[in-house]
Amino acid sequence: MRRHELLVIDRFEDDMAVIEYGQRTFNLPRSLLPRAAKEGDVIKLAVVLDPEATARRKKEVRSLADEVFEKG
Amino acid sequence: MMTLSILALLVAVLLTVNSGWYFIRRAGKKARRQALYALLAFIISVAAAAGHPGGGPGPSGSLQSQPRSQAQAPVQAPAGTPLSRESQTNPSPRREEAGKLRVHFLDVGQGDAILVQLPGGQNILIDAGTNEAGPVVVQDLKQYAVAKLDYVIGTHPHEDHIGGLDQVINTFPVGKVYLPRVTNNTASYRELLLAIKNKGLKVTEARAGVSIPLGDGVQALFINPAKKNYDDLNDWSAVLRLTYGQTSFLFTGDAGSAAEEEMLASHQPLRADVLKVAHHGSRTATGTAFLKAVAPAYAVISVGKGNDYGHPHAQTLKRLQQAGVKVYRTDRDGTITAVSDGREVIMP
Ligand SMILES: [Zn+2]
Repeated sequence: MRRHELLVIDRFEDDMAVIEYGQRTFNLPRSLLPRAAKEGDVIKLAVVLDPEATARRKKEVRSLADEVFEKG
Repeated sequence: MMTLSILALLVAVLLTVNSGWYFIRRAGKKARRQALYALLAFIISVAAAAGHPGGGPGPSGSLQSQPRSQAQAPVQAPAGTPLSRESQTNPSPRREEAGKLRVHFLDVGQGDAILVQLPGGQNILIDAGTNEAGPVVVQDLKQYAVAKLDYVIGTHPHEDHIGGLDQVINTFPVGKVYLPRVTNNTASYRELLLAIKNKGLKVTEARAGVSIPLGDGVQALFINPAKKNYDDLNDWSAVLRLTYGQTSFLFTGDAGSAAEEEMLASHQPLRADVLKVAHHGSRTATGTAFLKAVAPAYAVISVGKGNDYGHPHAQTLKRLQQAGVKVYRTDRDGTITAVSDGREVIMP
């Protein structure tokens, strides 16, 4: 993979945006993109880890698991 | 009658020599068929000459017409030979029987790729699927014995149509390239333009009113894009109507409702026996009015199994069903081949 691969909106298919990244494409729900996004726009994706939400989800799943698993 | 027989004999000899030469050069199935026709013409004309030396009415009249029309068969020889040029100025209904036009709707998953093989041996490729499907398209073209793509059409600059086109252009000799005059910013589109440039080719603009010079009784006319601008790249789709004898095909790319309205308003002939359903059967294409104007007997939807976009859309399938159209789908049927002899289209 080359170093400076751009993320480009190739097209929209209903509620999906088809993003070109290098030699492949992937779909993003249109709702995750800014309203003004259009075909041919180059986008930046900033992925930020969310430790609080991760902890909340973990707690929720664990307590649910405790409920449904047979007590050992 | 005697002079006629001699004439027929001369034609037959000429044909034999011609197809013999062609046979050596190509040694293909077609050449063998031609050699057979020529031989047949030769034998019949000898028989006619021997059987009716005095001439006069009789079966010789019908016998004479036999080798004459058989002699039309080598029309399928490559253009440029004196014979094919002569017969092009002298078309006969028998011609269409001799040659068949084949349209292969290739199974490339979600995307479009269509190979049209003309009766005279020329090849047209309309789209080449995604980047990922590129090698599949190259393989398929080899399987259909494509040595050269005389015409390459990229309907519009979306990756599911032009993604594999650079690989195809880099693999096969290419005659002319047609694209609509609109760009996209993707690497896929840039790579297509680079492949064209690196091969020293130029792009011919595809727009309504532009025809492709094919010969062989085949006509191809672009009927979209008609306007100078569309909001959606899909509506820029190069839409090609191809006719062979009494049969016709409509290749719509991903043209949506705006393009359909424009095509209907232009009053160009839209009717077709086979409709390549636009935009993989999405709901925003193949409207009732457009479908009525095309009035196809068969429809082909090029679509990937379990795609993320809900293609083909139930509403579109219903519209096709209500119009009494028999629907073929690449996700279910794989590659679909339609064959026309100029009088009717045979579907699998
Ligand atoms: Zn498409």
